[in-house]
Amino acid sequence: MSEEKHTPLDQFKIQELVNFDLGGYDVSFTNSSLLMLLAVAAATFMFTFGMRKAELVPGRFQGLTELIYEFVSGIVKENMGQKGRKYFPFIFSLFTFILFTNMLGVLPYSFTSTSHIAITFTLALIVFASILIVGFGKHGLGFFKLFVPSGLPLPLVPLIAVVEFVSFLARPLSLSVRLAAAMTAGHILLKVFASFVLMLWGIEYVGPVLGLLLPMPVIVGLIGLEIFVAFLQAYIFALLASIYLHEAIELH
Amino acid sequence: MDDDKVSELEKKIARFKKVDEKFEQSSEGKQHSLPLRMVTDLGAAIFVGFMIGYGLDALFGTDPVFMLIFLFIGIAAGFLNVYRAAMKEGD
Repeated sequence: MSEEKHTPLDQFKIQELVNFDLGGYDVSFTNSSLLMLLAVAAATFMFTFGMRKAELVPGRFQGLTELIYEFVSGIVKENMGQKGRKYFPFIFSLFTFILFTNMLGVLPYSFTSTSHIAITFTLALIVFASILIVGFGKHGLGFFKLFVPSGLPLPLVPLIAVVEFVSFLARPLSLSVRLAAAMTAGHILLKVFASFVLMLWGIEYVGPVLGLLLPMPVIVGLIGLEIFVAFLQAYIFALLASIYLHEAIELH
Repeated sequence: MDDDKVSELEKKIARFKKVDEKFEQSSEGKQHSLPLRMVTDLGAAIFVGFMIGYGLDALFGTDPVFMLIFLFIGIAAGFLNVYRAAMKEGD
């Protein structure tokens, strides 16, 4: 172990578990795929078994599932109104998938799929594509009015339209970078503080005491923060997706 | 004795409803996420502006012209994003 170098970035390494090759493309089943599959399985398990009995007075399991449902329902209602009910399944799937991948990533020895831009950008592109489909489907070419705020003096229209267009294109990038950055930063911080324990351990006599006293409480706190961030980022992703969809429906 | 139980239950329900309202009113999650949201919105807009300019330059062979123009447009779009995010939180 002392021979090879360990960096805090090791945890984000993709490892191929089963090799697949599809027409020259590498489509191997990796640890990232495994964790995403687990997340979907866990979510499915929770929502089927949590609601299987569907008692009037919910138990803990059912209470948790209802809490998540009502939470997402609140996001959709608050940002999209009654018209948004149609898009609830979409927002709900996004939220649960991100929440479960984030939460599984906090577990030791697991892998955080959402720390990779490839995953988050795909999710953001799905949101972006659905905005375009909904927008053009509802308004046709009138969708371009999204880029021209009402009451704008005519000479300013081209300039503002271009600025709005760039701002619009930046959305999927911003969505994906935010999620990946938040997940990556927290996990690196955890690893760095964990390495402090080992470094202090090397000091004679007082090392182990110092190592356990100084960085360890911080690590415990950070794990709490990580769980919070895991939830928060899923919430923000769902929130922004519903805000953007609402804009596409209503056009300001 | 049943009336006692009912009134007790009603009190309990009222108490839980209060807690529920408090929980809904606090937009703590939004507040915590705002800084990171602003940073990525700003950065992403600038990057997209830059890349559009870069692409147009490569297309027309006008090296720094479109890059500079769209870089500034990207900065404007980024500030617009930050402004919107901040204003939405205000109310």
